Amino acid sequence: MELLTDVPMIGRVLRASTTGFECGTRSSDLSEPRFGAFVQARRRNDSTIIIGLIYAIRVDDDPLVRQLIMANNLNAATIRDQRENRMVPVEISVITVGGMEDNMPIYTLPPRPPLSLDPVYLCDDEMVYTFTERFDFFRLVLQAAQVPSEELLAAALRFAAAVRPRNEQADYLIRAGRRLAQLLSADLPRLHHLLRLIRPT
Amino acid sequence: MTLQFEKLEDQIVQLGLTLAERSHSAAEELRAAADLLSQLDDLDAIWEQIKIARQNDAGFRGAAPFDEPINQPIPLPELPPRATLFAADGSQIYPDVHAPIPYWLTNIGVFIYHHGTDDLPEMLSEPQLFFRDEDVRLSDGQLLPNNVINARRTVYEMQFLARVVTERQTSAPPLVAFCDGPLLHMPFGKEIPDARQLEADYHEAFDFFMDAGAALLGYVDRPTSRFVLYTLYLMTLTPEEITVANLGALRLDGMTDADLYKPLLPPGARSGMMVQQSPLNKDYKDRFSPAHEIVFFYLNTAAHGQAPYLARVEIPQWVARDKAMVNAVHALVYDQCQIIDRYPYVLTRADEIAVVQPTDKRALDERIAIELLRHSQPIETSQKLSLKWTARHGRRQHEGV
Repeated sequence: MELLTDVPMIGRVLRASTTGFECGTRSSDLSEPRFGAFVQARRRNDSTIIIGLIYAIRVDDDPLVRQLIMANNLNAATIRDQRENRMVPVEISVITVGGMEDNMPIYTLPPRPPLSLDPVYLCDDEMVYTFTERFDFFRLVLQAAQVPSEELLAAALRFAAAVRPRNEQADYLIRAGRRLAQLLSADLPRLHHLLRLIRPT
Repeated sequence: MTLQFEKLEDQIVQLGLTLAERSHSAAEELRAAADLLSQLDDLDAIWEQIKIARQNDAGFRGAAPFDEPINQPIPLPELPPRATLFAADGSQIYPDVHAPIPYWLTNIGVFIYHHGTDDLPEMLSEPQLFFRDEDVRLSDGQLLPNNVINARRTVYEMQFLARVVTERQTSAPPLVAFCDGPLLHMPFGKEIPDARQLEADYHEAFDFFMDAGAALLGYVDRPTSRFVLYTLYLMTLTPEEITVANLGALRLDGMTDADLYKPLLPPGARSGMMVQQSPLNKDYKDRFSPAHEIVFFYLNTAAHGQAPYLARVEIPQWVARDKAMVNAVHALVYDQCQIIDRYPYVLTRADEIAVVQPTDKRALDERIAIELLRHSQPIETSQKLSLKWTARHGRRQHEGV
């Protein structure tokens, strides 16, 4: 498989289904992925790019880490050893929100999930811009039971606004708010909360 | 089928009663032993009794004082500002008669810790795979027994550690090399085919540490040794009573030196250094070098406010004779035991580097099977092993996203 070199790889797929996937990485590689970021998974010999949003990042503990905390006698060398030498696993959970086929966005779930060990990258600005031109991915996020959907959608919209020229950002968020008002007209507390989260500063 | 606890219930109750009774009588004996220890100020008198035991060929296996009182705590010395610590541990895969091909493996891990700096610690490992017939089988065609592999792994650990220390002997002093377990032990029994060579290799590695100016230590967690208790018993005997029969008749009912020293040693303090009296230690001294004789002390590794927790630290005589080095070993071992819970951090990490997990073994077996297939070699798996694996691991919960 050809690896992308111009966007950061954040991990490789551990588990997957059509609605989402989890990827694993090392704690020392944790500088890039952020809650709400758009990521892409690419299957080998498949032209469809699967696009998702990071909704959880978990750092697993282990018995040694617990003992170090209990002993409460850490020094810088020990912390570096734990973080840089030991393979402390980090799991990143992603909800699938669509895909890209021939540079055209698709706002449905992919026909197949990514496979174990497929690489997962952050989406570049151009891909985020193209994918977020329309708001059809909102429903998949709002309907997902396993994610903090309002916070996740708000974080994603801030990423989407940030890849646009400064003078378009406020307008973009207002358009997104209008679409949310249509989708959540029957749930005003939820709508109100979301609008507060994405209100342009 | 799981263990049927209801059938064990009466036996577990009996176990509790028996231990409670034993603990009561042991506490009285321990008090008497502690009284006796408190009176043992005269090191020459102890040596006199030991000389009589030697003359009488009484098979005495206790402890002799080195050059310090054995009934006084020696307080924690000042921690050196800088030091380089090396720790080694090893693990192995034993040959398996049910495996597609017989092989065995050792994996030695070394962890290097730059005490007093923020430098990133270093990890090294050395796996070795043994698969040739002459490496895997004894002369009668039987697979190598586990104790042979343990003996070889012990030597590989010491050799790898010595090599790493030698290569880095210009690192910040003092250099202190930690081994997990005693330095004075005999994995090289008569049943080991190449015991003499292994012993020679083991002691040759000692010389590398000595030449590099490094302190070597063996760390024994929760020691069950009774060397001092044997010495106390010896001190109660008249010269005529010091015989094999009398020394062999001593029953200690689970009491250990650690029980004796726990009330005596505050956190961070150690006992005086002692020399274990055994044919093996004499062999170390006479056959290899007086500098190789093993000296030990007990150390309370607990933090202030914790219950006493003792370790036995073994050092060769070349370390024991250098008081600055002994102080460095004492302070650094205790400091390491404070990073995690009463056990040296460097040894914990060396173990982690060395350990071969069952998943590693399965992956290695698969990799070997692929290589055999690549060369059109038949793979005959054991039906016994295969079915055991199925029964033990056949049930698995599925996890979704």
